Amino acid sequence: MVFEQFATWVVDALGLTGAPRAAVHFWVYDTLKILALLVAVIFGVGYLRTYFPPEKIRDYLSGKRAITGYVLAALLGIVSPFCSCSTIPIFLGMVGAGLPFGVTMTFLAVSPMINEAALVVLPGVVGFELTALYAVSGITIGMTSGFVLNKAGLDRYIKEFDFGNSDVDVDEPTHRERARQAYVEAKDIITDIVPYVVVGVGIGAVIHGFVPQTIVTEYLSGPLGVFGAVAVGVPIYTNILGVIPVVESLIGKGLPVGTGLAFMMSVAALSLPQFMILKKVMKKELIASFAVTVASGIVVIGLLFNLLL
Amino acid sequence: MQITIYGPDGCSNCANLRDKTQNVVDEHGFDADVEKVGDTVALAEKGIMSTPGFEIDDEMVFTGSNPPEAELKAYIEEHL
Repeated sequence: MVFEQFATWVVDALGLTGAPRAAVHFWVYDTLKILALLVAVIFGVGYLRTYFPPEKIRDYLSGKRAITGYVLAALLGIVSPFCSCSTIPIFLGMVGAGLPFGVTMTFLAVSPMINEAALVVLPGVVGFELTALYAVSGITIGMTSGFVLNKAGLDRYIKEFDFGNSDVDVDEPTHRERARQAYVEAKDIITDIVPYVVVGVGIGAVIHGFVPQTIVTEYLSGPLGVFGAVAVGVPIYTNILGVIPVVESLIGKGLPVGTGLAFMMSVAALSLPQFMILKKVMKKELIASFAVTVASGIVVIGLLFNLLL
Repeated sequence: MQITIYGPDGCSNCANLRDKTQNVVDEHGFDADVEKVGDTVALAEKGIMSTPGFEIDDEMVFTGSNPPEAELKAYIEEHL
């Protein structure tokens, strides 16, 4: 592939050998590969998304039975834009429209954890099987969390707010307008995530080239590793696309797969900035319960995978 | 005229729309104040699910898109 050749050309031109060669090759190749995939996918999904504005999906969800609602909310979480700055208004719109509490929480949990970009980048990194497992477990954790929080009656901790009516007459956009919309969105998202990808792949490259395998297998394996991964992952705020290459290298060095997935999920799913925004509409009891429920789900999945795989 | 752009902090598309709008206003000398509101509750109260929202005086003109400057200019002229 052309990126592979380019990466080889770069390391040849720099006259690198041994570990530095492996690290720089990994860095150049992975950065290019990931960014190229992202440009294609984000534009494509952005274009399709113009056919399914969140208002439409919310109205569609309103009439559905609870179980259908949970499944659809999880799917909506996957294709929703991946900045929490865009998912929280959608979440509030769903709450404001009176959708069942568990359904809205499912959306909130799944949305940052799984997105179309991650689903396209992951197979090249961890393979199709693990990507499917990642998606299925993310959806399961999201739906279970929504269900549990609902059963626990925590909806009383949502603060009162009035969801207004924006009353915008939306003309059916032309193909040109849809493409423009997708282009603007893709450009913004890519600009936002490039630093995460470059730094993430850089860290991955250092691990790939320099960290001895024994450190990973000795200190990061075992059941405690999963707890550690989640404890470290939750406060870290970064884009999931920046975490994927780090986890890729660690798994390559013998990190148990469940631990790797748990780390990836916990970085993506929960973050302090997201809690700060949610604080305006939820009481802290609910935010804490949400975080604990989702984190426990991630730990269980991580342990389970380490046991089974 | 008051132009309000509703977009949470961290939404670069929204910040970009604010800058473009300010450009259009400056370039054509429209008598308008451009303001950006980032509070998510304010967005909810306005009924915005897709960011950014673009409001002229009290009318929400569009949500969820970031049109080119020529189109922004046309919207502003409609409200003069």
